[in-house]
Order: sequence, then C-alpha cells, then structure tokens
Amino acid sequence: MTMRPWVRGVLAGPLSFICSWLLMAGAALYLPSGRAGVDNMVFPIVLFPLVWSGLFLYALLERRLGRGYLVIVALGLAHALLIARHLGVAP
Amino acid sequence: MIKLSQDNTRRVLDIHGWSGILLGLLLYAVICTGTVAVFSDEISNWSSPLSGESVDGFPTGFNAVFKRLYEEVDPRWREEVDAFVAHGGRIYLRFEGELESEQEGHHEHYGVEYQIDGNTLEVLKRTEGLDHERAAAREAGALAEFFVDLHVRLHLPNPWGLFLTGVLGLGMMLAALTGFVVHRHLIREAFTIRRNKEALLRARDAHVIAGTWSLPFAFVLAFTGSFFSFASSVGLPAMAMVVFSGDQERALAEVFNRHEPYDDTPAALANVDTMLADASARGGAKAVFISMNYVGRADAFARVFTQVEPGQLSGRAFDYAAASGEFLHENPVLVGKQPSAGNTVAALMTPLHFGHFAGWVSKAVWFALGFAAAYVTLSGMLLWTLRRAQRRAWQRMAGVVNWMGYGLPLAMVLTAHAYFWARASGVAVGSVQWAVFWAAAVAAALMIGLGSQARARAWMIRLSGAALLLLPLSRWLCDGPSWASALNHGQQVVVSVDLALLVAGGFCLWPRSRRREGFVPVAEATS
Amino acid sequence: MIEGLLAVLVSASVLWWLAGRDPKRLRAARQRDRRAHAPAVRRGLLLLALLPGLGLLLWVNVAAVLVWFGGLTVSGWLIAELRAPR
Repeated sequence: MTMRPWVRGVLAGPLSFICSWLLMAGAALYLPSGRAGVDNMVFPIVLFPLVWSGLFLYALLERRLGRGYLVIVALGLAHALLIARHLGVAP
Repeated sequence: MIKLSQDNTRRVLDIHGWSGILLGLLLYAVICTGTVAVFSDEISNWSSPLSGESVDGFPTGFNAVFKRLYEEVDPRWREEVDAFVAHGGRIYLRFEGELESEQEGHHEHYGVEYQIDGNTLEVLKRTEGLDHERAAAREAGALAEFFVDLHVRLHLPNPWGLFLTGVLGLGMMLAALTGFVVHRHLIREAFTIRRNKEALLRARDAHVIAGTWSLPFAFVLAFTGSFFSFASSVGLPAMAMVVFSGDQERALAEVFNRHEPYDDTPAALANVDTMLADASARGGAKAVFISMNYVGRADAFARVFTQVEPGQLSGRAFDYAAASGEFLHENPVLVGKQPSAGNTVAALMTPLHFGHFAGWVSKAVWFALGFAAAYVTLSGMLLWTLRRAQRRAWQRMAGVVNWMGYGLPLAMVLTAHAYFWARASGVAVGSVQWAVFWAAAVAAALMIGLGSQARARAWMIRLSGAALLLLPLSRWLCDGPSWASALNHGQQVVVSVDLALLVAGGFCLWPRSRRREGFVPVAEATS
Repeated sequence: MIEGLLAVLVSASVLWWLAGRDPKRLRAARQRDRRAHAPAVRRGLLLLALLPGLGLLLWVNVAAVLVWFGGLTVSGWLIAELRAPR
C-alpha cells in the first residue's frame, strides 16, 4: 500500500488543479452574466483559488480514495464536455 | 464547527506542516518583499525626490506640454497615449504603437516615453524603445520596482512567475485553513506565550499565538494574492479561450470596456487640463492616470482615473470624448461597461491586498499584517525543523531556513544601498541591484555554512541593523536632499522614511538576552 | 482615518485588560495570587473589544472598519507578546 500517498497526491495536486480550471472556464458558460455582462467571468476567476483549495482538502480528507477520484474526475469531465460543446468540438 | 477524527486531525496537521515547509521558504520571500512593497510609492518618493516643491497629481499647464510633445512624436507611436504621476512627482507621458517584430505575424509594443518634472514641467528624460527598454529607464522607481517584481513573480518570466506566486498563495491559504482547523481550540490560549519554559514550547507558542491573531488577514492576503497571480496568467486566458472562442482582443475589449473606433476624421484634442480637473472634481480626489486612444481623430477617447476618495476603498474612472472634452459617463473602475456585482467584488481585491486605501494609516496597518505573516511563516519553519533537530537532514534544513529568514532582509537592505550608489555613479541600476542582492545571499549562505547557525543569525541581524542605520547616510551622500531641504520643499516622506529606517536599525541592534529572542538554537533544544 | 485609529486604541485597551486576567495566561505565568476573569466577564470584554468595529460600520465607513480590524489583530499579537511571562 506504499503507492497510496502518491495516488492521493496526484488527485489533490494536479488533478484538482485541472478540475478547478475546467470548473472555472465551464462555469462562465452557465452562470448569469449580470447587468454588465461580466459576472459570469469575474466570479469563477475570483473563486478559482477557493475552489482549488476546497478540492485539495477534499482529496486529502476523503476516506474512500476511489470516491474522491470519481467526484473530482466527474466534475472535471462534465465541465470539459460543456466547454467542448460550446466550442463546437463535441456534439 | 468541523469535527475531525484523530486520524484526520493528524493528516490535516501533516498538510499544514508539509505545505508550510515545502512552500514556506519562497512564501517567506514573497511575504517579506510584499510587506515592503506596501510602501512602494513612499520608497520611490523617498529615494528619488525632485529638487523643487513636491507635487501630487497633474499640475495645470500639463496640457501645453502634452500637445507640444505629441507633435514631436512619430505618428506611428500615437496609437495609445497615457500619462501618470509617480516617483516623487514625476509625470510619465507614454506614446505607444505596434512594431512588427522579427517573428512573422507578431507585434511588439514600441514607443516613446517622456519623464517630466511635475513642478517645472520641464522634460527630464526621453526614452524610445520596446516596453522593457522604457521600463529600464525609469530609474527613479527602480528600488520599489525591485521589491514589487520579487513579490509579484520572484523575478521569473511571465507567466511562470505569476503562476508560482499564485501557487504560493494557495499554499498560504491552505496553511491558514488547516492551521485554523487543527489549532482552533488554541483560540482560548490567544494570550498565552510561555517564554519561561523550554525551547520547543516557547517556539511553539510564538508560532501559534502569532498565527492565531494573524489568521483572518493571512487568509485574506493569500486569497487576494493568488487571485492577482491567477487572474491574468490563468483566468483571463481561460475566459478568452472558452467564452470568446480564443479571441483575446475581444475578451479584453469586453471585460475592460475598450471603446471601438467609429470616426477617423482628423480633429484636435480638447484641453487635457480641463478633463483632468473635471475628473478630480467628480472623483473627490486627484486624477493620477489618463489613458487615451485615437488621439487626433474625431472619435478620440480618454479615461481618467482618480485616487481613492477619503473613506472609500477604490478610486474611480471617468470617460471623456477627448476631441470635444465632453464628459461621457463614469466607468466601473475595473471591469464591464456599467456597475455590476462582479466589478464590486473584483474591485474589492485591490484594497484588501494592497491596503493603500486610506493613506499612511492603512499602509502602516497592512505593513504590520505583512510583518506578522512573515513572522508566522518563519517561526513555523523553525518550529518544524526544531521538532526534528535530532536528524541531520533537518539540521541542514534549519540552516536553509535561517539563511532565508535572516539573510533575505539583509540582502534587501543592501540592495537599497546599491540602488543609491549605482545611481550616483551612473551605472545600470537594475543589474547592480540584482548583483548586490545575490552577493548578499551568497555571503549569508557562507556565514551559515561556516559557523554555528545561531552565531550567523545573530550577525545577520546585527549587519541588517547597521545597514538600516546607514541607509539614510547613503541616500544623502548620493545626491539626496538633506532633512532641512526636504522639509523646506514639503517632502516629509524623506524624513519619515529615514526616521523609520533608523528606528528599525536601532531595534535590530538593541541588546537583548538570548532567552527573550524568538529564535531557539537547535543545540539548546536538543540538549 | 483618525476614527479607525481611535477605535484600535479603544479595542486594544480592552484586550490588554482581558489579557491581564486571562486564566490560561495566569496559569502559565504561575500567578496564582491574581484572580482570573470569570467566563461571563471574558465574554463581555470580548464583545466590548468588538464594539468599536460595529460603531465604525454603522456611522463611519468600511475603510475605517478594515483599518480597525487589521489594527486589532496586530495589537492582539503584540499584547500577547508584551504580557508573556519573562
């Protein structure tokens, strides 16, 4: 079981970071844009550090590592799909 | 309240310690330079005051100088024109255009920059070239810029430097969050520092108590700091890519409300003084920055930024039709074409991070907050190495922590000396600053490596103290004004900063017993 | 901005008072002869220390509140350092 810390580290570090990036970029597509048409972009950018540290802590504290992977990868994939559809890359 | 199992408490404590020790060294550098950078305006005003009365804001008569210089400049560099007041009352007037670079399809900003004495309106210097060439010519602000650059990107190229400081900010946020989670019961001990106990307990108390008190602002500074690092290096490119399908120009135009051109009929520019005065009256504070596009055409446009009005957190921005001088509307100071929740939140990041919304009062408070954060970082790293002092590897790490902890402030003060002597002898200020900074870092490493850590540390504090005490002398010897002349010309900043340096130097040299010092020698702890 | 500074002064004095008879601090300093504040008194003093901030928020401005809060956290740390047993 010596691999476990690394497996968890990859989830908490790089994967959480990529997931937060996708979350930030994807959220801009469905958040309300407000009166000036910028809120949908500003809030994800502002919240990006908080989202990442939230996911980081979650990844380290989740007892079942498999579920941790599932949640973070699913969250990232859903937003990746949303972005791909918006850019016309995916159906 | 979050309830943690014993296992999770252990894990959170590990995250706290490891994120601190892995990122702590660089984080400490970012915090120290950031703490000094709170006073970056004062540092520039103190290190490079002009010889006459000190001026604040644009003086009347700037319009005439502006128009004369505008005529002189090659029309290719008149696409964007802006002017700002900085560095002891100098006005920087900048004309910029796009230069076809050697790489095909790439453009670079090229232009002409004038430095104007805000008091006499005489041109002090003219520089023509690329962005970085013009920046290098701003010697009056080079010392403050050195600290700011180290703080913002650790002198690494963009976007990597920003990316790294962003990650450091995330690390600091994590350390604050996890510190709160594991130590929250210690809030009851907020006044308990056991200096009369053994070394480890003293080190622990010193770290935990400073951490407890500075926790809310450490979180705020880390959060806003990582926002600044990531917003431009990660956030905006992401939005350009996704929301605007890769069109960076359109993204910038949309987010920062750039005006579109609509009429290229030649037309003279309205009186700049009048627009500046109008904006000052509307904003309740002096105008300090004006940015113009399409000057010389009927659709010329100007945006004027004012300083923060007393009692407010941010300055304001006003848009003008620059050919007629007609006021158009107030623009949100940061993002969008009209007020929005997003702009309010984004605009809040600046005062929360920089702390320069209420003059010297808020700056002094933010400086103290930065100092506390630096203390928490350093004492935390020392505590971590002290707990593991029996192991050789951690003893070496303690040496590295001492090197950064006490060598960095010494290197920073020596850099300031280098700034003055380099300017006085007419050599390139930027390179001399870096050379002296690194030489000091190497010297500090030698001091640590060759003798006992505790002795080296004590010497570094003494040397920093002496260097601080001598800094006003260096300034004065290198053509700086005397106190009498500074006070006569209303340059109180010169005397105030000198006095602050003398007090800080005295504090470093003040004799104190070893027990009272925050640092605990490794040998004492393990014996 | 003088209001913010005054508020820091008021809050810091209350913290100084609070720290003076803080039970944990007294125990650590082995000052058994001095009576510690009762829990109710401590809670009261803490509220009293926070009161100037509320005043600034209601009658002055947010800038003053930020100055006050920053000043409060730094002075809390300084008080803990200054009142630590030698």
